[in-house]
Amino acid sequence: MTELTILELGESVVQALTGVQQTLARSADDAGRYLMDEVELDVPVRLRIGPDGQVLVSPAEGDEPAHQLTRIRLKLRPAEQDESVGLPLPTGTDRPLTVLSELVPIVIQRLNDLRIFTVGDFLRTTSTVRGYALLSKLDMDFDLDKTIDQAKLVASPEMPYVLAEDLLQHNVNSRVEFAKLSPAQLKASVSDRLLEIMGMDEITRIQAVIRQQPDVIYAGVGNRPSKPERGDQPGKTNS
Amino acid sequence: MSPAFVYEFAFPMLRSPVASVELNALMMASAQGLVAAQEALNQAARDSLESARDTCVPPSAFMLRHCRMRFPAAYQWTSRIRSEQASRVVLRPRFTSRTTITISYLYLPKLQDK
Repeated sequence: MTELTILELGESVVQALTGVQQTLARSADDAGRYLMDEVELDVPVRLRIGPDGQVLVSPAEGDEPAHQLTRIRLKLRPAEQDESVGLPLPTGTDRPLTVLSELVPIVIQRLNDLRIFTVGDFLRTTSTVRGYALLSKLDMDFDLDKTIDQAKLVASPEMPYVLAEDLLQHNVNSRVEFAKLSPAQLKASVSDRLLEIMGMDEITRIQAVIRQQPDVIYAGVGNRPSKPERGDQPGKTNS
Repeated sequence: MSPAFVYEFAFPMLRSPVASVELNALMMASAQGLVAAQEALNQAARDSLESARDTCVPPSAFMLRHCRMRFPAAYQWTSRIRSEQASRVVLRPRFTSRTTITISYLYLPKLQDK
């Protein structure tokens, strides 16, 4: 019985759609262009909650009574597309578990067996009480809380994952540790190769942004951003 | 303005010489089929325009303005075992199935007066 998480099912359908959109975008010519209007899939599945709290689906075999099946109806209508259509750029949440230095291959294999493949899967699972409890009971030699901190660093929306992974290689294991670094420590915590790509000014700017995030402020490291001037509030225009 | 056709194909069964096909491949093939059909119609319109001078028959152009396909299929999926892989939906054509797939496309012509 092949089981997927419900998220994987959705992702596989979206990947199929993206391929079609790219094909159609390339087929535009002087006469006109093509658009995908709508895709609808009506899929009967057996659904269960896994031991770590993830929703797992397996295909219906065809002999189950209808009342024992769940029907997933995916109705997708892509937004207006152009030639630049494509999969969104990968983010830190799409990175494989191998980037988390705390995890050794045997632990990664165990997590893969639980259908946890990416940093995003790991954070999603450990954010639930059930998932955290299951992973903390894994009889493996790894520090779960430290790994969650590492995963949050890689998944930080404020920084490119190349910076986060470089920091992990220099033993900076969390957003809070990154925010705490002095300018001299910060320079020593990134590789020369990364500095060629990003530059120290950009890394310092990202650190300043991280220091204003609620989780870092809560840890007693960051600073609350200064209040905007009267009449200069976000969402309001001066006219 | 050219006449607009709305094509709706409802297949009571999906026949295929292969035992199974990935959803990606099936959708790509349907999109490529639509493009090929419209390109043939565009070529026919050009031929019609050229021959109109000689035959005095008014030229005509047609387009697949809206094409919708609806068919049943059995399905399975392949499960990834590593993060570099992707899970994929696989369709297995057969005579009866409770799974239904509907795909529809639009063609947007560039009209000369716009």
